Amino acid sequence: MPVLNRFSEAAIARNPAWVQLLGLCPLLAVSNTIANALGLAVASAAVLIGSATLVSLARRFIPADVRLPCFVLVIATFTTLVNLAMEAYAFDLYQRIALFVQIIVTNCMILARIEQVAAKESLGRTVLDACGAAVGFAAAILALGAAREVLAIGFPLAALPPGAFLVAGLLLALTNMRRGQATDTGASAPADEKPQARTVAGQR
Amino acid sequence: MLGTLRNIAALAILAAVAGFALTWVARLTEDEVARNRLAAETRILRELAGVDVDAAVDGDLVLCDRGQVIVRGVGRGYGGQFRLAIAIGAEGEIQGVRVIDHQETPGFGDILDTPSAWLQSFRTGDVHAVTGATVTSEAVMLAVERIAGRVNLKALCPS
Repeated sequence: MPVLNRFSEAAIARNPAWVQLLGLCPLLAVSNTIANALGLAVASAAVLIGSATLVSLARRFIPADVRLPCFVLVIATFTTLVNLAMEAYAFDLYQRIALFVQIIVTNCMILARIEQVAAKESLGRTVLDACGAAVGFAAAILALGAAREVLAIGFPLAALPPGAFLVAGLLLALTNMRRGQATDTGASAPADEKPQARTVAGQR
Repeated sequence: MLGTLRNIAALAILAAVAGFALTWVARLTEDEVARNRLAAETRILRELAGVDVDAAVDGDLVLCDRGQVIVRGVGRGYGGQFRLAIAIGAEGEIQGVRVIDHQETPGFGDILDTPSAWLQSFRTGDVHAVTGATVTSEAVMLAVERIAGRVNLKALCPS
């Protein structure tokens, strides 16, 4: 099914965190508990899906020369809206992760998704891709949050900032091992995956 | 020329839409945000005073009760202005310090968030700047000194 493919490709094959290695700053900083991780995942998803939808709708009216300022303006607006909503309706969470919600505006994962997909493709495909990327990012940050919270029971370092790097590195190694196996057997890995990774790395 | 105008028009329209949306939502949420902030401040002040207090009172004097005075004040830290509350006893001694809100860098500002062993050290009078957060901790020490030094117990709180 093309719809499902589109979604799962954005969520798994081009997972923003584990495959493209984008948006790692909030991923590492806010993954100390599952609750914080979930809060940031929902906030990022709202900004990503909202901005991608708006840019896709307005893509014919955005001149190519000033597209980046326009995208950043849209992302900044959605980030501030989410920030205001959190401060009003989820104040406890806001007090813990406010700074990392504010810097969603600089999350290159979102800008990359908008530049590569929302600015070029139809609304339906954009929304699917944005939802896929949001779910992929949420899965990554929740996996890291859960792993750190569980490991911290016997290994307190996991809850501290250096622990974020260690656990993230281990999870990344695990994902790469799985991807390596998949490529070896020729089971998965879409054809455009490698050039994709190269261009994104070049922009980083 | 036409291209330039088009660019300017696109950015201007987008900025106007963003401005309207933000203003509207900010107005929609401002009451709730103010309520949340007040509730958070009340929680901090209550914990400091040990009795029920009203954080909504105007001015710096929050409480004047059985020889205990609670005053609020502001200081300037690394990330901007912070607000703090100080509990002062009948003899002018500092009984406790709490930071109500601050914008210090996360991690470095953690010493200001309750429960904070460093803020507890104000009770003993033996307070030292914190390594790695020198600007933040010295700003708090300076603010406490200034606010507590300015408080005239008898005038503020005649018992």
